[in-house]
Amino acid sequence: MKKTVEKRILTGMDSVRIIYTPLIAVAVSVLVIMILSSTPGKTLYYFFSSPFSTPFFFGNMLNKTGHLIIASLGVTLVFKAGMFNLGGEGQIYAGAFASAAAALLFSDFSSPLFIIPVLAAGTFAGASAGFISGYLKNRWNTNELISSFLLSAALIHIINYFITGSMADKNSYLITTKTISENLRLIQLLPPSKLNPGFFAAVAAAVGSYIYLYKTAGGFQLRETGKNPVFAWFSGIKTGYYTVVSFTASGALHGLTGSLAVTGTYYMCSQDCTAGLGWSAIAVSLIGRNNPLYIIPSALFISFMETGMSGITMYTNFPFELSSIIQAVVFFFITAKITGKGSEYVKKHI
Amino acid sequence: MLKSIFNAAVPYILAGIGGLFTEITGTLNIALEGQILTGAFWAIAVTKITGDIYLGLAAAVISSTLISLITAFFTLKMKSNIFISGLAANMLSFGLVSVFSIVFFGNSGIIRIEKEFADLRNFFFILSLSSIPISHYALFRTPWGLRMRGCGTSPEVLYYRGINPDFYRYISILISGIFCGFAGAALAFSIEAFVPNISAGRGWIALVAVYMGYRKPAGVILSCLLFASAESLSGWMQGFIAIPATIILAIPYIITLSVLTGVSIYRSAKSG
Repeated sequence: MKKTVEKRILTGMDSVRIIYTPLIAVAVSVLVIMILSSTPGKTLYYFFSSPFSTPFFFGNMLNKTGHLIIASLGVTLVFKAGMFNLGGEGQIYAGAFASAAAALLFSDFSSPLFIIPVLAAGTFAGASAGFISGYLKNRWNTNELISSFLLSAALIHIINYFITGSMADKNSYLITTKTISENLRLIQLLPPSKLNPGFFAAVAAAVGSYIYLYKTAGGFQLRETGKNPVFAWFSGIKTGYYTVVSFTASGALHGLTGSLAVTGTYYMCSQDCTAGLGWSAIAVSLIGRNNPLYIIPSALFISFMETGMSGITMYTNFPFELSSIIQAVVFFFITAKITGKGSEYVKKHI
Repeated sequence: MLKSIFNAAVPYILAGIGGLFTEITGTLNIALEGQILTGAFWAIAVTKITGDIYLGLAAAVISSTLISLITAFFTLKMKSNIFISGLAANMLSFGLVSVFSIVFFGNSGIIRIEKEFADLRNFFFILSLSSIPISHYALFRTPWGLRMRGCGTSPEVLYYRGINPDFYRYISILISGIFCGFAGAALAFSIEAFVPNISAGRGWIALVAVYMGYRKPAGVILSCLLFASAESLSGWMQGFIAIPATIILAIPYIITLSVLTGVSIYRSAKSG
């Protein structure tokens, strides 16, 4: 009885942390802006207001949130199975590229239904990259942290080869593929912003992942595999199966993120268009304590920060380079624990 | 050929030894990348401003150590997640380098210097070679090294013996900062310039080398040499076959992945 009460306090503290870490992060960024900016008042105003000022910024913020949610669900799934997927960057990029290539292939068809194979192509590309790392881990116990990172780094360069070479759009001033045809784009729900149905799919995916992980037998076995693979194996859980499946699913989710970025946001695959998304997704997942439901506010928060940052670089003379410093400072503080005597006490006695 | 391999290997080895120390105390320091970048920038910036390469070298080591100190403070004192604070350190290094580049030189592009670095090149070479026996001795033959290793395998034992594991983790991250400062300086001095994104994934590759080298100094250096030969091999191949430059960039990763897979196949076959 006593245990359950204290457990409740701990879970309660967990949800409180989700609220107070963003507050700290906002306080820190306000402080940094006040130190670094020459016009602190104006910069602060735009930092907080620009994400909500126009439908353009607001819609783009939600769109970005959707990308972050899907990609970080991929991170979480592998993490719950006791591993780490460092290849998100490459898997997202592969998804984006495969979708763009498929869309260009189908550009002669006028039916919007062809968006399904386009999204599937991206998802499949990401899933294949994820599968390789999962398979190597399961078959020969290759360190998945390294194999996923190396594969992703190689993929990025190989995709860049196609984008700069045979698939480049010679008429564009960007290094990019041709733009995909109108009918293969996701509809804009809030023009001129890029908000599309992908955002709602992302939220649904988060809820779905939560139900899978915590309310089904499969999710339970996956989590047991992550907690103690040896024990799980002796309990008759097919741990190898969950290793491969979680990594493949993670790759698929990353690939889907890339697909959504191409079909719903950029409408082409330019060089490094999704750069940084994979790393942000890892941060989102860790801030959301690897819980699919906490990931939604956590993604919303990171996306808010990034939108506010692009707002101030657009409206004020705040240099773009400084925004990465602010983001860095926020990242430093965001998982910092303010451990008082009380929380130590609760932890020790459970 | 051999010489170019060794030259390419020097930054990897230095960063790899730095990464080895953090890995052995159980702190996955992914900020190596940012530390190398910082070191490379300050090496060139200070050399360009003062005209003294040794001041540049000192600046590289100090700046990189400062970045590592910040990472150490947040992960050990503030109990931040090591991965996130490592990412943050990389972002911070990128931001600071661009800002200072604009402050000092008016743009955030390539900074070139005309200087002769022959002495330093030998110094880096000797430093990277001598780091094998020294780090091996320090980690595996001294009580200090035992405690460092204990930090990674069973920190609670250290804790109950009245030793604070965090103290050794601090030291290990500082050491990684020092070595990455040298690595950054070696990198920048070898091309006599600073270019944006000069580290180009070397910090990550150094971490891979630590894993691949069984967390032993000699193993780390062998894996670093492997990377360097893959790098110079792909550069050398460019002279014969017309391979696009972007594919060349992918080759070191592909070779390393194949070797990693090969090693794990061998290991799992041996263990049955």
